[in-house]
Amino acid sequence: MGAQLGGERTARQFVIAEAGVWAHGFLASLRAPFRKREWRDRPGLGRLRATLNRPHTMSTSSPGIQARHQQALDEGRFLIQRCGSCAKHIYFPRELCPHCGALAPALVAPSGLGTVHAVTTIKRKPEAGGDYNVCLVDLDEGVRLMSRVEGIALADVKVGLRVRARVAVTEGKGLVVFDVEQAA
Amino acid sequence: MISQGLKNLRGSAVIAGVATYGNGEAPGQTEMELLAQAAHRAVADAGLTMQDIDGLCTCSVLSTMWPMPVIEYLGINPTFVDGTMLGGSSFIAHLLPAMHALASGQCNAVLVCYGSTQRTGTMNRAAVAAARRQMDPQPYEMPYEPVMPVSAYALAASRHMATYGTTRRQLAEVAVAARLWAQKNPEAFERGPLSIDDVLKARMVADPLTVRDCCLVTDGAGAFVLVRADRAKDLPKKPVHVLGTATACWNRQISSMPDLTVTGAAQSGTLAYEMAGLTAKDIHVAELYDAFTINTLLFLEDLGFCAKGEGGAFVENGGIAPGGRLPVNTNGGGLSCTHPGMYGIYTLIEGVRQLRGEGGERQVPGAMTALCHGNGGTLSSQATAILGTAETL
Repeated sequence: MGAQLGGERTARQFVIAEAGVWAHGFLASLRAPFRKREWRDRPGLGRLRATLNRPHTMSTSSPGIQARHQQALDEGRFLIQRCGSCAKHIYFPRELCPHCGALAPALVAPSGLGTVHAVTTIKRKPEAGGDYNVCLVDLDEGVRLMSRVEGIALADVKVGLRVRARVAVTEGKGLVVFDVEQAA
Repeated sequence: MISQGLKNLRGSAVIAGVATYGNGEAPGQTEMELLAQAAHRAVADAGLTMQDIDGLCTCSVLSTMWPMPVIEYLGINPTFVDGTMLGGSSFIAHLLPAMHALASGQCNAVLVCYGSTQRTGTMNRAAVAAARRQMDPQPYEMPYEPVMPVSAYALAASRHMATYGTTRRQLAEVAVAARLWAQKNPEAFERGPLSIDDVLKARMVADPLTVRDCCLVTDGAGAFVLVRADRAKDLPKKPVHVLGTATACWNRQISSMPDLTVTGAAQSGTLAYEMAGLTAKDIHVAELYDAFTINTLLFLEDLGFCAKGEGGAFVENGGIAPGGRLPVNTNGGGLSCTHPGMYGIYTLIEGVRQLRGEGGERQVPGAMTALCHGNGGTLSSQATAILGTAETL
């Protein structure tokens, strides 16, 4: 019974809570720097309603590094990170540098060139799509990632093969894959 | 360098009781039921009753809050609880916190226990893998559809082969040696004949690993009881001391492993040896977590039984089989004895049985030291324990 009652808010509780949310947002907007972008970004009616419906809690609404990295991939851009403090490259993307602990390593574009570090052919029934490649690639920047090499026979994907990154976008979702790098 | 405080813990705790239960297939039973049966037997083996247990270490593949239902089920009231979950190495990783708790007097008898119905349970490995995609996401690996854990070990094997010239035949030697030991162990699940050609010609799962390079999928439970060494004289069974132990974790994902041919065992082993004051040359029997054949090669190298890259040559011509240069995985290992999801606890149980002289047909004559090594995740966590009889103190 308690749980059922807990699921409902009285009209009075609702008004108090929503007023609190609105006041919090209003005060936060006053504290925000008066930069041009901030004004342009002020919520329209739909967002205002969403704000009012949000529970009265602190909110960290900017997207995290994982979402920003994926967003770039979805736009066809492959980014890794480089630490502004220790200058080391980082992959997968993180909120802090795993080498020195500094916050917010910058997203940077790698050369895209790399070398196959390890490789496996995973067996799969033909009706399910057949065998496929999974490998680890060392980028020239010194970071490693899981991926696959496309466009050549599975048996020809070997440790040491030079490869170049390409972003394959399927149904709006970007994924890093590799092609054989043709010798110059 | 390890601290003097850790060195002081050398030999301070003894494994007083061990037990396994339900290995192989245990249809119609739950993980908790298997665990409870193993726990009861391990406590009895130590000459204790469940009411004497005031410390608990346990974890589960499925349940994130596993110590609580175990406490409830066993009816115990532990003053020391450790539910650390590092995958298959966990039950070796539990040793050091338990030794600290015993040394400080926080508790007097620690039960370490595990049970799994991975083979016959309703939630099979495919269902667990599907759930894990949500509960333990790896967004930079999963889009490439690696079949885990085998793909990770296949990648490590490919790198070892490319770097050191290790061959599939050498990997097959590991599986055959495990089978030959299993044939001497009545508790082992797979005891039929197995040749190197059988392994090489078996169904490929993830190149270069065939299904015979992969561990079994079984049900089963294991448990052991740890007490302070000063109680050893009151124990019904020959005490087995923990001389040294350490745990290392460098990464979760195989793509984040610094070097695919060097595992954290290089660190956990070095620290465990230092605590024990021993080296690989002093070890009479090695129980190495063999989830896949490549594991055994990597751990033989990282734990100092041979140089890096020479694991393949070390195991050739029956090097780790009965009668070989080093007895390894004398129960048949995860490859042929049992592998109920997490195997680590069985390395300790077999190590204790060997040092007690309870190995029967597979007994290593005069064994006084055993190295037991656990692996977790996809070569992600490593935990090493060095056990010794009273003569080694």
